[in-house]
Amino acid sequence: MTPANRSLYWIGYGVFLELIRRKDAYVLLILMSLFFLGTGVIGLVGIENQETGTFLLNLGLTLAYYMAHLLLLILIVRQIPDEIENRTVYPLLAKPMSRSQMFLGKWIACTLGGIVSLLVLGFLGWIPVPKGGAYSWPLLFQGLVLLICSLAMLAALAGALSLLVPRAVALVGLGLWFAFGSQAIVFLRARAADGAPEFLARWLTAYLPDFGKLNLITRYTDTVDPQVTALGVGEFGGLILYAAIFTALALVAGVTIFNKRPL
Amino acid sequence: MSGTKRTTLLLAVVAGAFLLSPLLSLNLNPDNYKGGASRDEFARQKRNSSAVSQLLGEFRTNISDVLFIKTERYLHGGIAYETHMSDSDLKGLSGETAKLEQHQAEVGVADHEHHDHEHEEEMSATLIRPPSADFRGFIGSLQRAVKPWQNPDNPHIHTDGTELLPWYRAMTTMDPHNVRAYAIGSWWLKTRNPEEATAFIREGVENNPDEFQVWNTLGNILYYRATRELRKDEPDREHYRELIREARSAFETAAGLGLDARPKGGPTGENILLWNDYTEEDLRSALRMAVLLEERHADPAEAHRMAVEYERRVGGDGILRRIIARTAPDQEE
Amino acid sequence: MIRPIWLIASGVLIEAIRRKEIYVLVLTATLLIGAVLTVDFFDIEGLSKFYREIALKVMSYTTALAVIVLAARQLPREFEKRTIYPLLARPISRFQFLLGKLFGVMLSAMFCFALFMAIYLLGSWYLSHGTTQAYIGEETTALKMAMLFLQYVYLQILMLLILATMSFWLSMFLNFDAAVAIGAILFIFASLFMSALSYLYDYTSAIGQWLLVGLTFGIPQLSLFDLSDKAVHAWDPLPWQPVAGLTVYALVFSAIFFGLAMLLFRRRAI
Repeated sequence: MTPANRSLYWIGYGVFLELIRRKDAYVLLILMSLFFLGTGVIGLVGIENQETGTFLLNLGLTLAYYMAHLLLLILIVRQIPDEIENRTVYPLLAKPMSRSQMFLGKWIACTLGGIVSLLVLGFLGWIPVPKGGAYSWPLLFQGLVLLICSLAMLAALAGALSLLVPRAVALVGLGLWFAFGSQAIVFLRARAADGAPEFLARWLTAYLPDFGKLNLITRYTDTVDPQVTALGVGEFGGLILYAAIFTALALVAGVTIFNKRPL
Repeated sequence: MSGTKRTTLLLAVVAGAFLLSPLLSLNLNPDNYKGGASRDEFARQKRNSSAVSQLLGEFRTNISDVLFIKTERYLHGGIAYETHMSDSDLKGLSGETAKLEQHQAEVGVADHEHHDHEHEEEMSATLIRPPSADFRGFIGSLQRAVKPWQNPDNPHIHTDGTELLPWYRAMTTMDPHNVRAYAIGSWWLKTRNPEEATAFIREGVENNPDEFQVWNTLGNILYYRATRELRKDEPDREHYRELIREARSAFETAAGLGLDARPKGGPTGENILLWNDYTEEDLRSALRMAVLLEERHADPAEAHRMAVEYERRVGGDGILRRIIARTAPDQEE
Repeated sequence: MIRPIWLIASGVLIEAIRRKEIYVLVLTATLLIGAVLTVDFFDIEGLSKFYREIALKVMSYTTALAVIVLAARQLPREFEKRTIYPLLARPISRFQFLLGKLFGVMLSAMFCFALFMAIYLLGSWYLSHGTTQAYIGEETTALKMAMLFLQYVYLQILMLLILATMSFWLSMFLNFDAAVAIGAILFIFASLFMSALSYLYDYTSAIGQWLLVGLTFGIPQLSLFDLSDKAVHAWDPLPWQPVAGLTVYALVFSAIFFGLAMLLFRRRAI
């Protein structure tokens, strides 16, 4: 293991230890029990038809999507600000580790935490509904890959923002943008179309990160209708590239801010 | 390459990619696809009348479902009733607007909210338990006091649904491919502001030019405006003819698109997932209107040709057959 | 007795006002409410249900979440930052300390709610094109609507009291995130929990039914404090009996949660 890799490993290990120590996993357990409760209720009431099954599948996966992103957000916005506030950042940086490595290490570890939450909650939301081969496996795979990209993008943006504004502001601001950003973009475009040149409005709003583009849950549950199919290779690759651009930009911004920030 | 140069290059690549990113993102619209259970009327009505949906109350993730629940609540003064639906109750757009038409007629179209009207045919249970079937004691009493509720044995309160309009506006802004929201929204609007209704459905046509349902609704609204014009004390005949001409053209477009989309054999067997009885009902309505308007306001011979063609493609339509019979060349003579 | 409580309470209030979170929340909520106002109402006057529904929901969610966060961090922060020692070194009992914290949180909640109220009423005025008459109709209707709105506010404050005391209690034995998560889940899914408990009764065995009854009475039914549906659909104000009933219900639950929090607080070695 190279020294750089070793540093990243230690950062990841530190975040994991913190997860256990601060009992952050409690929140995941609470959310998991909510899913178990839901599964029990569904078992009791029963699923009458395919349409209801599809609806429940969509609901379960959507809840898992929101909860995993929220957990990730809670986890990452306090990582570096807490280290600075508690002065634990000095011993960390005293090791053979640069600030950039520290930032990237935190990002990787938190993204992995988000992925684990997504997989656990997503599985709990997916399993109780009978599938009967009605839904597209390729689209499930594509959806999962894009959700992982979405988690990485949110982690990078939140990590950078937490260095600029107080934690709570970063949490609330990005949380709301994550939940309503897509609608806000559509809304802004619709408003602007009345006055300002439509093309300019569309172009400028395209610089805002749109998490909705990376959420294929409804498209996946819609595949019960044979007209709806998986994404083409070009579009799928384009969406990954889209997430990669925003993630890279946020990481570069985060590293730059962290490097210039007096501790 | 030195570290600094590498960093500068990386920064330049990332910044360049970001600046050009709209070229990519504006062409990525994974939500822009045809069909899907979330937009399907038939699936929506079935899932919203299931036991699990009753249990979930207003908790939904789908825009169409939210609109469905809002409509149910707004039309009954906010009271939540259980939705029971057998397959025979399921409706297409034209069936649903006919039902709403009846509702508005009972309320009195021109009235505002709380113009309560009672009618006796519906007797479904409220989602909140009545005192006779409630195990929750004082908690049940408090819930019945705090939430809009009335004894389910009483006739339903019926209130005007015009207040639903901003919901339809907001929903179509969020999802411009929600054809049903355009169709029902413009229907609500047509009595209050027919010009706005036309503008709204035209926006729907612009965003969904391949959907026969929006063209059909545009035809219906233009036809409504035309008949309204004729009922005026001093009707503007030219304006009337113009509206009829536009309506005829909209119905014809709807007929063409609908026939192209209709699978061979119509709503049968495996096709039912793509094309159900209610879509068929809406298409037939468009076909008949296109032929009728052609017959009455343009060229009966052309109407005959259209009716023959439409009947050949869909089959078994009594109204089209009657038109064929009365517009046959020997009849005219 | 009152002075030390007020001292603690004012400290919480000042901290809440000075910190930026409340303003970010209010600003974001205002933007949301403002966006609602820009929705095209098709030039039809008097369409206010949509605005009322969204604005009341946004106000309720924002304030409730702010209270949960504010209440859940009060005690752990004092312990973590060791600021509790100088406070308790003064002639102040732990009961007074906790009561002061509760008053502070409730005052902050009311401050947040008051900001919203101003925005909400401004929006209503704007929708009615500057005349209250056009918005709420005749004078008697206006009076009824005002009465119902006041009842809505009063019941929301009662609900916030339950949430605040519950968050105090949870924060004494769970970490901050877990306490906030449970409080938020109980609030966000309040209506769902209530309807599920009622609906499942007919699907379960005798034991299951006992369990459902236990849960119905054992968990605070926060949905009972949400009068927004009646406010949106312009129903008559509530008679005094249910309002009094809800007041007692809220006070009982708040007292229980406060007592439990006090119990853990007392046992905690400082």
